[in-house]
Amino acid sequence: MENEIIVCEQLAYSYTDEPVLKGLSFFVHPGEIFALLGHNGAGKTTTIRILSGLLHGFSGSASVFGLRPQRDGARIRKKVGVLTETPALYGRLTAWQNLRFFGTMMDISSQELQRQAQNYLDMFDLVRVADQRVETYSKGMMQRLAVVRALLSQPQLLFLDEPYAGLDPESAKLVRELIVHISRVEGGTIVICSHRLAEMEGLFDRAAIIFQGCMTSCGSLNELRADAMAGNHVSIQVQGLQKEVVFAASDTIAGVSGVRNEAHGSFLFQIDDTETIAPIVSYLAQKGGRIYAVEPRIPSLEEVYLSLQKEVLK
Amino acid sequence: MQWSKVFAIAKKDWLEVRQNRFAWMPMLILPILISIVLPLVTTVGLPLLNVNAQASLLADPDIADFLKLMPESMQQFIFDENPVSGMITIVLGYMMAPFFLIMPLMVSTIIAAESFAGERERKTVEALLYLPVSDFELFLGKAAAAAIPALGLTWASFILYALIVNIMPYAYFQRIWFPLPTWWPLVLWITPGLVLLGISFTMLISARVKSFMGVYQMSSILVIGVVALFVGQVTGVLYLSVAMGLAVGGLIWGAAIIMLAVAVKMFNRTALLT
Repeated sequence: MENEIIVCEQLAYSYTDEPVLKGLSFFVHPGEIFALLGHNGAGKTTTIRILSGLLHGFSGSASVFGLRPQRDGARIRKKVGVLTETPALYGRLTAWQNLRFFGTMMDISSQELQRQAQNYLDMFDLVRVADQRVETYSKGMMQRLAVVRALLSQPQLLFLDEPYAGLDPESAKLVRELIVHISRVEGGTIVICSHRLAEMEGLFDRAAIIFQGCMTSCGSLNELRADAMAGNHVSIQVQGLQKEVVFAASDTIAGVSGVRNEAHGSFLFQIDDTETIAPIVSYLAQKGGRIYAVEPRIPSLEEVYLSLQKEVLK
Repeated sequence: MQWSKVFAIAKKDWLEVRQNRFAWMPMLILPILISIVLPLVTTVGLPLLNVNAQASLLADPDIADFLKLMPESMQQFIFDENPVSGMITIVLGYMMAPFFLIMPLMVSTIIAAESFAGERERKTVEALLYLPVSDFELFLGKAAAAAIPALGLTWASFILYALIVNIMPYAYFQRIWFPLPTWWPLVLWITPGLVLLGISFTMLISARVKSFMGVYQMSSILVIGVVALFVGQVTGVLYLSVAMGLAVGGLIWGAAIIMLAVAVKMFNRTALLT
């Protein structure tokens, strides 16, 4: 654990009587894209606030770059860039005035600030409006400017809270590419909080799924799939058989735990592993079915998430 | 302590206030009224009144008793000069003094309320809290944003006021008569104390009340103290002599320092987020 950028153990916090976090434990490797996934109010933003030294009075332990957030908040914040849940920009100031203020506060030299700001404003297509008041911007433009602000100091660790909120598809793609670039090329560490699972799929190296302040699972997508027991599926399009005959496969073939009828003559078989696919195909052919397609189905992040949530609710 | 960051916060806050005319317009109206309009109306209007009427008013035994209780520095103008300069001295040299206490209080509370509660209301506070500055630097930056313009505006208004009340009725006084000695403790001692009191009180309320208007309304309670001073002056219960000015200032500074200590203790990032 010595080299980890972030280590949290049994982190718990409550704003009022109702606890928001109930014993969260995870770690983040250097250069990793780590996701905190969960519904609104799950405790994702609170976790970032604690790690940045904004909230004191939590129980459990937390360290960022080996520093204690309660004691070394300012030192941690110097190394961290944060995209807050709302853009949190000064509407009455222009983009340049905003960036100059935040740059000064982050100890960026004026030359470097000018260079970085110009570069990112150009990248996010904000140069032409950089001298306009931010309150005249659309929601997407504000979010893009907030991303620029987070990147301005070239931080070693980036906290991105709902980075895709309000972004148009082009900007969302740009942010996604930038996240990957920062992590893979520049070696930066990124923690992303999100409840938009479709946009997170394939982006993170590891993720923690939080539900009502508790962590339901943590690991790579494959590990999450295993934890969720969402299982493997295979979709087989077959014709010329009664439904009952197809459904009987779950009683007949070992390793098939369920069959569901989908549209256009397709059936979804829940299987223990891919070795079971061949016996199913043989069974259906033997019964006289005409097989048109066999498609192994990997559960999406959303299916994994919902499955894990269902497990907790049980 | 990184002073560059403290001043950057103050500069940013002041820039924001400047861009918001609903915030700075009320701050300008009062100084214009107090330092320009009222002295002009008084110095132009009073000589137009019947001089005998003024003289008989000053000769009234009850009023004379009231005036005799005034600080000596004022009595020489009231009783030794002509009736016009006497009336001008009473109005501009005596009655107007408490108005100069409302100004720093109002300006400092408006900016402090805008700076703390306003920022929280507009949801910009979180980005500020994520910056690598200590709670105390943040506090100082916000306090400076309110204190510097409040003091600057009050002192600038005082200079303007002094110019007008000396130049306009010069024909009656034939010399520079203002400021009277009683004004120095008021401007240099009580005013900064009131600014500090206004800011500390506003910051204290900001920890509890979430909206700008709520904070501003609550902090206006402080004006009651100034109104009491004004009533005390007008009714003759309290005369703001030099000694009294120093004593009242001492009390205000004492209250301000206690309130500041509490406000600093209560000011932390967690409190601003929750």
